[in-house]
Amino acid sequence: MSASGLTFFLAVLYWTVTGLYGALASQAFVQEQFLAPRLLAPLAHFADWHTPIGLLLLALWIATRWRSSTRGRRAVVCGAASIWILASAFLEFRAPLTDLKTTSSALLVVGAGVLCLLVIAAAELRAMVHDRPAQASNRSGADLAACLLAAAGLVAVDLLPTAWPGALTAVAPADALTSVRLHLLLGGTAFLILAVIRAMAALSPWPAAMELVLTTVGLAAALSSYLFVVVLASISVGGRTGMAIALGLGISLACALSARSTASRASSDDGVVSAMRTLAPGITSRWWGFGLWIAALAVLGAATTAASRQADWNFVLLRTGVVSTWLLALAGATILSARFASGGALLSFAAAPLLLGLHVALQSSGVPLQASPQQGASARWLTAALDRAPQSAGVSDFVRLLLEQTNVPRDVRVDPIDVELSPLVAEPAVTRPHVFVFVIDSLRRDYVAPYNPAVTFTPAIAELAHDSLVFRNAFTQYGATGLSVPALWVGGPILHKQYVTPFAPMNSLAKLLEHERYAQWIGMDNIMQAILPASADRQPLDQGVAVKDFRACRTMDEIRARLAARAEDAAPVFVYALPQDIHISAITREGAAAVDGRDYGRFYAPVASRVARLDACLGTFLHDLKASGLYDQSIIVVTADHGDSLGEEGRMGHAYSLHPEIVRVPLIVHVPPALRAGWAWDETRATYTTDLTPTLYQLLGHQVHAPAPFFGESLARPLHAPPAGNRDRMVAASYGAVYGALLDGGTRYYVFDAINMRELAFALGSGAEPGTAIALTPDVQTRGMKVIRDTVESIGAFYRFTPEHGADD
Amino acid sequence: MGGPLLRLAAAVVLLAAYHRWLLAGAVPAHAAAAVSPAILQDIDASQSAFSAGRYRDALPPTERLTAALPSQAIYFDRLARIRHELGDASEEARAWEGVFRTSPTPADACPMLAQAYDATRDPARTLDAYERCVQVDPDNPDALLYLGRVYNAAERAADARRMLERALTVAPLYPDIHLLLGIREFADGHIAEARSRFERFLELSPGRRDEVAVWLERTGAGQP
Repeated sequence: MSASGLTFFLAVLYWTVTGLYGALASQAFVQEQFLAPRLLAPLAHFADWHTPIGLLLLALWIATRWRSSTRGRRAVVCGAASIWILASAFLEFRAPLTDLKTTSSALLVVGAGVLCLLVIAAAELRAMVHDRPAQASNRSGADLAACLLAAAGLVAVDLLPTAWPGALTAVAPADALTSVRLHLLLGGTAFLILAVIRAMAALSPWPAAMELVLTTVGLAAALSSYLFVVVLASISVGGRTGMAIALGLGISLACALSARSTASRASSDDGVVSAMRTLAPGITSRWWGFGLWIAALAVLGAATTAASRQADWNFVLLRTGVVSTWLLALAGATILSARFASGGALLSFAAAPLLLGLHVALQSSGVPLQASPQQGASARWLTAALDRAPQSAGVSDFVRLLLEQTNVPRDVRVDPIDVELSPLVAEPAVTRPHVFVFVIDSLRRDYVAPYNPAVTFTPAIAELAHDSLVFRNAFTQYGATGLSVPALWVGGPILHKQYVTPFAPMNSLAKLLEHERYAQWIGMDNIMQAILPASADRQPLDQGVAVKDFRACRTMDEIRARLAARAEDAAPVFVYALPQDIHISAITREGAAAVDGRDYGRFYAPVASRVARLDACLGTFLHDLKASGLYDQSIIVVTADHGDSLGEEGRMGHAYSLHPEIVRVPLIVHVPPALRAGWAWDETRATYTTDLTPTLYQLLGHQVHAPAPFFGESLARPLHAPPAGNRDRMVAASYGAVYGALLDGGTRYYVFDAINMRELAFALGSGAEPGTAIALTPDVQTRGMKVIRDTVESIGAFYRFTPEHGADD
Repeated sequence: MGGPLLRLAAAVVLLAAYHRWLLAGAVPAHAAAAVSPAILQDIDASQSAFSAGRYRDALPPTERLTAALPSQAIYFDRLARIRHELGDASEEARAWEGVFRTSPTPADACPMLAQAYDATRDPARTLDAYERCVQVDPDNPDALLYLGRVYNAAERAADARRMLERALTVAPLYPDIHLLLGIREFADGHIAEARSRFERFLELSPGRRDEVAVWLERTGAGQP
């Protein structure tokens, strides 16, 4: 690659990442949960050094063009550089990447990225000097050969990660055949699109130039679709805003890539091949070079698959890898096809329906496409795309409701309402237990001994469970931290917005702590900063430690030290900590390996070993409490804000998924014996993290009156009160329009995913297994949708939020 | 083949066919089966009566649902719970068999299936049900414990010991397994082993001294 080519790619990469950064920051939860706390270190550094990096790249870009340019070209380069500098200055002073507080400022960043990509495209564009005679326009045979070669290459790329020795699963022959079938269909589709481009171009007086333009349009459509369907949908940026971002970035990127191809000396009289030249190296014009290219793509595919086993939102990474390999393989094969003779239309056009007919025949003769965990990423995605359920009547209204009520943008003002679980008029209770709430970020219930007898690495939690309440059927209200933690403090579901501010009027637990005059020792992460009111009684835990580095052992050491130094007559303490030990981002950063080198059998060692480490520190902490006599004067809660997928059907992390392993959490509550004996408890009923705050109210002597039916319920009930029935309840993802309904006491579970437009149903047993997928019955579907619809509408009405209909649909 | 216009027309028609057959016309394997209005009525009636605790009213529509949708475990599950509430153990066991047969997680029917047979005073079927429970959920310490208990009662000492020892490997901190294994050891005349099991039980579950006091006394635990 020439120096000018290299600086071109760096410049395009820089402005593409800038645009994507703006798109990410436009979504409140990404800004609040990932960008502001600097969880994504490479992006945080990119934002810190955005302007200097940009100016350095600009200098290199100019330098590699100046000497070889004519006077006229230098004027173009100067013009482009001026716009680049103006855009950088504008971002630096008007919308710095490190401080994008509003959606509109984030969208300005996207705009700057799109503008600069178009400017680069304009600066790279040369007039096409080649053209060809019209009779050479029939490239059907060569195009079909290119598409089939690309398909064959993709099959190899797709199967390699699963066929590689040491892979998680061996590839089954049936999966390999399915992969061939799917990629042949993909190749057939690509051929037909190329045929349309060729034929339309042949109708114009400048076929080669028109092919270049139309291929650019096709590339723009592919990139825009990828951005809209894969990237933006994953962070719930949809509607007109999402479409505008996707089109802006997709078109500008395609223009830049195609424009660069006109600057290449290898520019040919084939517009399609020219447009593809920027995406694949020149060596692909030879057979051996194409083989090497496919081998390189296979390595890329395997690396993407391996990286995705450790990352949250891993499906975005996987699908990005898939789209990249599709485009790059097709580009390589198209360049190779320049060697092939023209003609062959009849045979090629006969092959396309043949491929489709073969698929349809297989589909209807008992060999339907079936998803399999052993499939490669590309085949799995294609299978899912071809296996979408038709939407039933009324679903579009339901989806509209969910989208309107989900991820309410930061720029939409919603005033807080006053949430009152109990009047809090009486004097503080005479005897107030200490309260220790440990919400272990991402802790799955089947990774702690009380829920899974196969777990031998959490003896301290097992010991705690022996004289504690172990709620066997506990669920988080939200499938990620962003809303799960605020909802826990409120004691019920909240408006799907990060966040309604000021949050304090809704923060029931904070009100209780102030009223009861607790000394508050709280790990002040970015969420706590947003949802807690100021308090003179609060002493932050982990002060000076970055949120991503909150670790249970450090925090518990600090708590132990503070307890040891505390005066005996001091106010009781309320401790809240959200350790990040096993959060997937922490594991990705630290390396996905066991921290102690032990073998954890079928458990995911990076998580299990960290749970073991955390458990040991909890054990020391509990030992101290017992030694100081505080244990039986304390309420101790061990729970999680959500679980995590650890490889189930290829899923990792939690993102906006609501699978059983994510919504089921441990909930262990130690209550001082005297206090515990005064109440009745049912450890088998379905319970939720939002039940904790009402329970604390109840235990401190405040009768709870739920402000709305969807609020949490106290886990403690008066001794002679009849057991509360299990009501069906809604759970939701924090970061997208995915909702679930827990039915029949949490034994049946329905999920409606309005991002991928799919429905799921699960049976949830009482054993260690998180759950089993079952066929969706009309009963589960009807009741599930009703629970979700009723709850979502009630939450909107309770928090007085009325979406502006049609504003962004 | 012809000129560009013909190729364009052919390509557009074929693309439309690809779209029609691959995307718009795709029939998903998991699409819910068509359900008649009568069944939908039964679904509503069964659910509402069951939720309200009106078990007699819930019975007829739920029975019809199990007949109409014989592969759906959820209705057998509901029927079993209704039968349980109505005190009909033999019909309850039949419904749990339905759950066991159709559920993707047959262990959901455990241990109620066996308990229902137990309530009909049918030891052979009770034992068989527990054995099937262990078969479908071999690492479930509760299932192993129950089966160990039934073997103990049936005086099948070797089987009881095997089952309890297996339970112990799965859940070494489960106090009840230690208690039952201690009783087995005592019955087999292994007094020291029994004592050690009872002491471990007490260690794991200090609040349940009453349950083990007599055994500790009989094995001389705590004595020099």
